[in-house]
Amino acid sequence: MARPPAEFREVAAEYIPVRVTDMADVDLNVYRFDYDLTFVALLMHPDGTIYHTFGGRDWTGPASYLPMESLVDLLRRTLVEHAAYQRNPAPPPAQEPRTVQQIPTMAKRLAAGERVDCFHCHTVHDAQVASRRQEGIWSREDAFVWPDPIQLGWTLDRLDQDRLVAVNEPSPAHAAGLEPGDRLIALNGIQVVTFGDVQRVLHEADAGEIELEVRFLRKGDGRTARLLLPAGWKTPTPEVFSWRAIKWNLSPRPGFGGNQLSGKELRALGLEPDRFAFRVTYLVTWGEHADSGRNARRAGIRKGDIVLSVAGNHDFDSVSEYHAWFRMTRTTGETVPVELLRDGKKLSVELPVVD
Amino acid sequence: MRPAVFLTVALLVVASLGAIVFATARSGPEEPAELVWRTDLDAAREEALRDGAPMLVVFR
Repeated sequence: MARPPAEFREVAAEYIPVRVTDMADVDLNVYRFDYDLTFVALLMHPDGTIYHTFGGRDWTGPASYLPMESLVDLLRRTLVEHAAYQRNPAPPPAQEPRTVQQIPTMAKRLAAGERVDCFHCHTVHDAQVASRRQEGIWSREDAFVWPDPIQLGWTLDRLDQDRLVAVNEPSPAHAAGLEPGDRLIALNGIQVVTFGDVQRVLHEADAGEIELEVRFLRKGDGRTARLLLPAGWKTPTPEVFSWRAIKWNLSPRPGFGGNQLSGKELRALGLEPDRFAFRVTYLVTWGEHADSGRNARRAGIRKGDIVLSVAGNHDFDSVSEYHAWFRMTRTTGETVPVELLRDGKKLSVELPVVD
Repeated sequence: MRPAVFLTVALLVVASLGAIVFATARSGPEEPAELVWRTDLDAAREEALRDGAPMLVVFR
């Protein structure tokens, strides 16, 4: 970890700082967070009460909601909250500890002698998905964890993460009368200060049709509104979902991927420099999903091919978005045309979508 | 006071003040100490409970 700045060290010295790089033996009933993240900070009481979650991100980049100034401010204000909590503590009910090693599919693998040197955070999601699949209770919606606040129709400021900087129209936030500049106080009665705090409330809310109460400040005046969320409100767009490691658990899979071409590479191929295309650098011919790669090969896709569109679509910002889109929108049994460029010539192949 | 004595005293005063200003500038504001990151979550919880301190738990 790079040496943090002095203002961070000064306020963090008021805390007991802990760094965890391996999820082995971590109690998942206490340390609940978005396991797709590569950085998260929980500000908490040692009785298990989580004051705030810092470290969420959106699809635009891993550091999109990680400014150091925000963390320093949060650490300062949480000290005040901690002092108040100490006078009137309300510990969460005690639960039996639950670790990643106890998740059934992981327990089975370990019992079979598999050695895991380090349990990464995303391993928790992967193990949870595998277990639910095995129990026959997995659904695609289970992948839509820790929803991005954009699901409500608002965008939070990256520095002042309780302040709305945009409200989409139409959206539940717009229908409830929220406006840019409004400052969140609480969602469903739970104080929210950060992007991660909002995600926590959304994660724990039901995915069906629900109402969320939002308390906020507008020009200093306290207000309350109700957000009416339709069934399926947690389902993101492929773009919003694209960064998540958990997407690799979804099927159907295309069976091939690669690297997005730069503007220079596109121009050299005689293509528009601002369009999306990628070069196939692999077909999945290994592991438990090798069938998908063999399927793509049988359809005629080769390493080195340039993919121009899939099912007529090339409106992607990244290869990750293409992967998310394929998994979220394609249906097993259908056939999709894949437009390719090979040796300077365009051709189209028909890819049967397999599970 | 003779001019030579006056000049010597004045020079000594200026030199002393200069030394104080230089030393203050060099030392600067006090740097906060390095954080001692714990790696054992359970032990850190015990420590925080004992000290009445909040915890900052970073996963990465």
